[in-house]
Amino acid sequence: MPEALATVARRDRPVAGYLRAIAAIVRKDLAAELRSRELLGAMLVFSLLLILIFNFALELDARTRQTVTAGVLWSTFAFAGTLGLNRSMALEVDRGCLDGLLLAPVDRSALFFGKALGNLVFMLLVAAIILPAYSALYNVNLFLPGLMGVVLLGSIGYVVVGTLLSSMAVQARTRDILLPLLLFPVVLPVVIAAVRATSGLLQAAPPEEIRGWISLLIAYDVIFTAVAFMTFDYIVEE
Amino acid sequence: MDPMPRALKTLNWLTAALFVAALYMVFIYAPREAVMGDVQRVFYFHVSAGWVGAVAFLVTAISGAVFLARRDPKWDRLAVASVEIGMVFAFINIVSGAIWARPVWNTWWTWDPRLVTATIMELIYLAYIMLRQGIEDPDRRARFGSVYGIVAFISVPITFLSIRFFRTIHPVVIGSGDPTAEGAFDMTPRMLQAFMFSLLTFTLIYVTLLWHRVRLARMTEHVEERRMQLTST
Amino acid sequence: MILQEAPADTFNYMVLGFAVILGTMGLHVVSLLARFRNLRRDLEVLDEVQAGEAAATGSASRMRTSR
Repeated sequence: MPEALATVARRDRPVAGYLRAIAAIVRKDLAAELRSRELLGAMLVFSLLLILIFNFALELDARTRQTVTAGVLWSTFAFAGTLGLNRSMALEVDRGCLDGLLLAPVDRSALFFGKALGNLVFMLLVAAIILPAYSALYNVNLFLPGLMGVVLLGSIGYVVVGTLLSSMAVQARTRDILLPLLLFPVVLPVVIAAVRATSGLLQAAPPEEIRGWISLLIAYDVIFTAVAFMTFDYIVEE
Repeated sequence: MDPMPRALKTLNWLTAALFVAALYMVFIYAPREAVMGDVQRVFYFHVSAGWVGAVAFLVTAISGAVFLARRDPKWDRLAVASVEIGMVFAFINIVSGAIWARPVWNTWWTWDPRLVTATIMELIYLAYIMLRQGIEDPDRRARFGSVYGIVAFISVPITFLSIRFFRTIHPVVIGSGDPTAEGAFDMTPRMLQAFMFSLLTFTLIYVTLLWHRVRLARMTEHVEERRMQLTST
Repeated sequence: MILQEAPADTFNYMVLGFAVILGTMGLHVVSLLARFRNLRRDLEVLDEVQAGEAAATGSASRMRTSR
């Protein structure tokens, strides 16, 4: 893996090399996942179980369904997301891939973006299955273009901070319970904004309101992508 | 291990004196509020404690950043010291806020953006501690603490704004009070003076405690070094 | 006719509030003092052990040279 990245970085111009490094990492994660399917399988089953639990925990009759759907969806994404983030980083560290990747002569941030992009793909794949499932189970039309956009923006924010924090949590003794503790307080604005935007779209709220929440999501995504870019080096330096 | 510096001893006395003066201001100098009565006096120290919690968090974030740049352990010691004091005062802020809310709005908890953000800040402090406790290597512990401190600090104002935007659209009517009032009352000049004086006093309390806590950290490391020297010979 | 009500009687809540504030601050200060005291005691113990060791090595070398 490191040699492949090295040739890639040397051969092309720096920017192309950087992007290829990211693509290589994403491809590696996807290929590994295709072979084992443990990550996606776990996230999917967990998400469906959560929706089941919510069905009995909350009164999801026709009326409340309208108001509660957004919350149920994003709670599910948030919890299933931690599963994916944890496993993704743990696999990296346990298989010794992380050390190998660190030896490659690419900018450390390429590593971060590669992992984050991989995590994003997994999260979107899970959403791609959960949204239709929920739509069918509860007869709610979730296939609004705006909603897809909100899912994308929310997932980006979640995954950027999640990848950064999971790269720290995975190196601690308490790795599994630590990630949610670190992540949830910090990622709260994403959850709030995503739920309100989704809910607004489902209930045809005034557009200025929805735009406000979407602006918040975009701002969060931009700010924390920048912060992650600047601080990731300090986490993996050894 | 050096004895307490003269400046710190003076600071101790100064802070203690100011604290006594603040108590006088809050209980005697400031008038009783016309509607809420005596419980309003809690407000002076409630807000000051919240202020200390926020300042402490800022200091932790900045210390962390400086540590990452300079790698001098004293900055990490400062960050940890500030977290401890911040946690204590954020706790005071939250609980005194609840005690103030109870007679005023007939509920222990209001989903007020400031109270919720203060609680999230306390949870972040706890997460910070748990992160550090889970890491064995001291250098890694310091680095990770620094990164989380910075990331978490940046998230807090964004969280506050999200909750406030949420509340402007979904005002929650709690108890019998006006939810948008958020504890507003007209401050007479004397109240304002007591308030500013409390803020000043608590800031000084923060600095004093921080200095002591940093000395404690240095002394702890010193003792550890001596212990290791002895066991290795 | 009373035009304005008297302020509510919230004296007990005020006491509770200040008890929490001052109590928590006090506990924290006590904890700092306790930790300082423990460290000073540790230092004393370390000093004693070090002095003991120095004396032991000193007397050991004296024993060797006197033979």
